[in-house]
Amino acid sequence: MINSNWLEGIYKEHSKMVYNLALSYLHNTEEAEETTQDVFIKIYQRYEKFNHSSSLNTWIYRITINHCLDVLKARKRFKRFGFLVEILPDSHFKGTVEFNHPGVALEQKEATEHIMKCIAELPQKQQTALILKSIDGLSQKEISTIMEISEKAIESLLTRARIGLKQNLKNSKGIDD
Amino acid sequence: MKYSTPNVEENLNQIAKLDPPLFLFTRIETRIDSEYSPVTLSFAGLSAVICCLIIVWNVWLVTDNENSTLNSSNYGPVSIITNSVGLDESNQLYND
Repeated sequence: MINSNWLEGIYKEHSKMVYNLALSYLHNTEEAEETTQDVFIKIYQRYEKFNHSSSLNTWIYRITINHCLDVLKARKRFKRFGFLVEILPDSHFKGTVEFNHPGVALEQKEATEHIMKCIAELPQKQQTALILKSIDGLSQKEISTIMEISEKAIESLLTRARIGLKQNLKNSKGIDD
Repeated sequence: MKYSTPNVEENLNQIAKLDPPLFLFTRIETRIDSEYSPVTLSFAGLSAVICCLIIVWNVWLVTDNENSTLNSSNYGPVSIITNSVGLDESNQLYND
C-alpha cells in the first residue's frame, strides 16, 4: 500500500498541472477541484499497476485528460436529459455549467469564454492537441508522447484544430477573416 | 464581438496557471482514509469473535430444538396428537 507522504510528494509536484488542465477542459472551478481529487485518487489506486513504460508526468497527463473527457461526456449525456431538471426542482444537477475560470483576466473573460466554447466543439483529439499546445504550452514532441501518436500526426491535428476553431468562431460570428 | 486569429492564440497564452486550493490535498487524504484504509487487526479480531459467537449461538439453538423434538416423541404419537388438539391423554379411552 502506498503511503501518504509519497502521495503528498506526487501531489506537490503535479497538482498544479492537473488542476490547470482540468480548468482548460471544464472551464469551471468546482469541477476542476473535483477532477483534481479524482485524478489523485486514481493515481493512488493504480500506481502499483503503473508499468513505467512512460514517465510519471506523462502517465498523470493521460489520467487527467481521460478523466476530463469522461466528465465532458457525462455533461453531454446529462444535457440530453436536461428536461428532467425541470421535473425535479430540487435536483442538484445543472443543465449548463457556468464559465468560471479564475486564470482568465476579467477584461478577457468574455472573449476567452467564447474561444474556449468553440474549442470544446472540436473533435476530442483536436481539442486535446490544441489545449496542450496553446494553453499548456507543451512542445509537439511532448504532446505526441502523451497522446501516443507521431509528431507528424500532432502537426496535422493542430492544423485541423486551428482551421476548425476558426470556422467555429466564424460560425458564431466572433472572428474577422 | 470580433477577434482575429493571432488574438485567439495570444488570448489562450495569457490564461494564468494557478495553484490548486490548499484544502484539496486534505480532502484527497480524507477520501483515501475513508474509502481505502486497510482493515485494522483489532477490527478484524472483533469481527471474528462476533462471527464465532453467532455460530455457537446457532449451533446451540439447533441442538436445543432437536432435543425438545426428541423429548416430545418419547411419549409416542398419541402424545403428539393429544398435545396438538389439547386432549387429556390420561383418559381411559386412549390407554386402551
